[in-house]
Amino acid sequence: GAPGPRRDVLAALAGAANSPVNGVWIWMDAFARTLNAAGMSVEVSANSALGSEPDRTEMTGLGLLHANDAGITELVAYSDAYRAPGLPFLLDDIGHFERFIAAPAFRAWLARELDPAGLVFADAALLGGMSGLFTARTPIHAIADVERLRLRAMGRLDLLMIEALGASGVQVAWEEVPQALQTGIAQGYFNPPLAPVLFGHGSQIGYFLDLNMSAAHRAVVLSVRWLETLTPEHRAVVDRAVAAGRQANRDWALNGREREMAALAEIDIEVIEPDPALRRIFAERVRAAYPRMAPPEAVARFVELAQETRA
Amino acid sequence: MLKPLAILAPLAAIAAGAGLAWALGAAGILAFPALGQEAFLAALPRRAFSQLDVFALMAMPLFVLVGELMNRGGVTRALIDFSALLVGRARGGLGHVNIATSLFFAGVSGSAMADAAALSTTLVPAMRERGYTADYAGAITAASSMIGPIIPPSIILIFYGAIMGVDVAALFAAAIVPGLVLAAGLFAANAVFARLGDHPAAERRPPAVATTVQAAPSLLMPVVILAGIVFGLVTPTEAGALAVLAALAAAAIYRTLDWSMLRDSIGGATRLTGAIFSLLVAGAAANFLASLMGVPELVRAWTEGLGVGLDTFLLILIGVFLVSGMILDTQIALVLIAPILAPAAYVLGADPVHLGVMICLAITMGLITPPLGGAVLIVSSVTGASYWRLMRAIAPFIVLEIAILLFLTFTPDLILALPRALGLA
Amino acid sequence: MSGTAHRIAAGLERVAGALNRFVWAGAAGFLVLMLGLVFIQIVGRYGFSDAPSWTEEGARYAMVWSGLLGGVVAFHQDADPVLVQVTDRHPLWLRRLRAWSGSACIVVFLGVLLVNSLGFVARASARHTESLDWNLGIVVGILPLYAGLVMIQAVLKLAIFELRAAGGGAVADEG
Ligand code: NA
Ligand code: NA
Repeated sequence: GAPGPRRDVLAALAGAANSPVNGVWIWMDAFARTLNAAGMSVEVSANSALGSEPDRTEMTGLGLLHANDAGITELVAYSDAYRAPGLPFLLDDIGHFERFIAAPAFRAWLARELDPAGLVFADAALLGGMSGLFTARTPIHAIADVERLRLRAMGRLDLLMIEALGASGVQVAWEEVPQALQTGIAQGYFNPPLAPVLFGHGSQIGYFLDLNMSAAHRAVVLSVRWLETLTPEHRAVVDRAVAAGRQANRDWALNGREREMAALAEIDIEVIEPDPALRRIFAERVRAAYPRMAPPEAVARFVELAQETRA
Repeated sequence: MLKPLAILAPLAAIAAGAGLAWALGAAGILAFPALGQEAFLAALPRRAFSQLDVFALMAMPLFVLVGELMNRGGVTRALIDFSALLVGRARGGLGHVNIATSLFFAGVSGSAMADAAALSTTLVPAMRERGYTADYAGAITAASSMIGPIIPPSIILIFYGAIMGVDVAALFAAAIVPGLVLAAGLFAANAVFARLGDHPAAERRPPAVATTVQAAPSLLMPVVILAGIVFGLVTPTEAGALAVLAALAAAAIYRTLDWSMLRDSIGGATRLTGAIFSLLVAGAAANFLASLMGVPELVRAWTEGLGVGLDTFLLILIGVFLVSGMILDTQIALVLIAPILAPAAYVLGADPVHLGVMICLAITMGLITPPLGGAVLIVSSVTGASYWRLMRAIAPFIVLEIAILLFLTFTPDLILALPRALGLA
Repeated sequence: MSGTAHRIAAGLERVAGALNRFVWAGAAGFLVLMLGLVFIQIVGRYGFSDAPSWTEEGARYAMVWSGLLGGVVAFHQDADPVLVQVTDRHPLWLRRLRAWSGSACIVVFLGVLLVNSLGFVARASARHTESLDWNLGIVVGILPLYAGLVMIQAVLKLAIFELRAAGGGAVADEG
């Protein structure tokens, strides 16, 4: 017989499908179940099996992939607006993040920039708590402790933030992070609580400074070309499925604090709750660097929107 | 209509002597419509670009360039002479020299390809002059080039460590003993073939002191690079760049460094890298199609259905990686299959470092096995010997190396002794 | 007649050779650039504990450009791996089969890649690269360039082969 997958909806995610620690999978699973229940067959491709981040974005834009789990950098590659949700110290907590990404002004701005690429932002899939600073051997109790460190940067934005903090940055590809930590090429990195657990190099990390910098998340993106082919009924089913994905992801993420702290304790990572004054110093230094992290006029708009959506 | 065309036309082209990359690429392209996936061809250029735009790949052209510089700069020559001093006077001397040179070469080069290319141009002609058949000379060159990616620096081990979260320094330390065992096995096999084929010893023993002094800069290079990576002072790409510098310095010491040598080395490196890049682009089509058809998932479902113990599972794993090394791109095979199979072995009690070295060794075997043994292809294209005749001559070495692989698979304590002594495992 | 064919073939060979020198210079230049960027990274990281963020991305793109231009050179110089070696000693019909089937494979493979690359480049132009903030369309433009250059060299190679065959006498194995 003719081989080849037959499905109505093709969805993809970067991470593993069976992991109870993967918030994106929880999102996609609920999304797929809702579509299935309405009679639309779904195939969810996990582990980046369909391709790298840019590959999957390209396929989404072409309408070949219908729902995709995209990293923040994938959206930022097309959109200035999406620099905001990942900007450290812009939003105070998860609740603030939720209100910000739901704000109509933000959604309209984002849609304007993503539409030419054939992408629609559906939701942010939370990965757990907010990002903080992991360090290998140095517990951070004062800003001076950070200034002595060399921290791993993922890209240009990280480097700007690290410079703003007074530390030195070193760009290390993710493949080389464990080696860099082990040898002291890098002495720490910024990530959400579960990162060392997920990537399995917890033995090289000693401390987690719980800074509440930004909501660790990935973006769920839908294909414009695909949505345009749907009947109004199917379109309504997709909207319901997105709502189900969001609900499942939030139920998981917002009740996950204890689970995350236990996971860190299990691999001997000490969690440090920063003094509010220390967090303020961190925030002030990083905010001063915003104009170099995004176009200045966009930053002004971010700050304004953040203020409007503050509780 | 399209399905037979997708298979037969490229096979005919291959049989007529056309470049593999082009036939493979055409087959991949034709298979898209044949399998009803033609819409996805629009995303193929992106996929092909991603296949190339890989950080870990950067070490490849650098270590290829190192191989070219070592070769033209007199480093290969110095290593060959030093090897001849150590093992050349035995029966089958140049065969032993070929293996010993690969052992020293391995400490600088991260790839079997660079080793195979370097010794194909230097030692194979010398072996033929001394009466070895072209097939045996080429076969021992390809077989011993396998030591290159096992003894660190090794691109494949770094890649494995990164995706599986296993300490790279530990993997490097653990790979040294397997590299030496592989060399020992090849020495033994060459001794047997030397007796059977009545291979001669090298004509003369080179002068001991002068040869050693001459080889010193070349021998120092692997020591420095090995220490730099094993003790974590440099990343592999940086080690590649430093190795280029070291090879230039050695060439300067040997007074072989000039503009034309530099131009020829860069020319050779771009040509060899370019041929590999064309294969990567062609492979992108096949890999993309395989992922669209859900091949990795099918493989996973099949392995999950087996309920077996550690030893049996390790055996299955080695088999799977041997086969995937033969038919898939190395890195694709690792990314797709290792994360699926290795954790199951951990559950059964396998050591992550030991398992990693075994998986990489198994995948690397694909370089000397049909259908597309990369190292054999290089030897074939450099020496002009027929690919399939080389494959026939290399068959006993493949059997030997698979036997060594199985031996190492069931002696984890031997492999882990060194990393444990260094406090890495 | 045969003299004319040989003269045209010789002229086409000069064209292919000149194009190849140009492409080779690019491949070599990007390789050296990549090496230089990695050295900047090393000096930055170990000398000043601070590597510029663009070196890695720049080095990666230089590698891709160098590698693909090198692929064009490898094709022109017959350095691509083959399973079966067909040389001047083989009969004309086999060499003709190699020339035509190889070219057909290239047209199918790289033609499809080239056609689809145009849309890819256009879409990529809407993106900027991560660290260097370049237009990604320019960076990935190497893909259609590579496909186009190999196809041009393939057509030249085939034309030279047939002209030499029509002109009688030895048919050069090298393009
Ligand atoms: Na090596
Ligand atoms: Na060898």
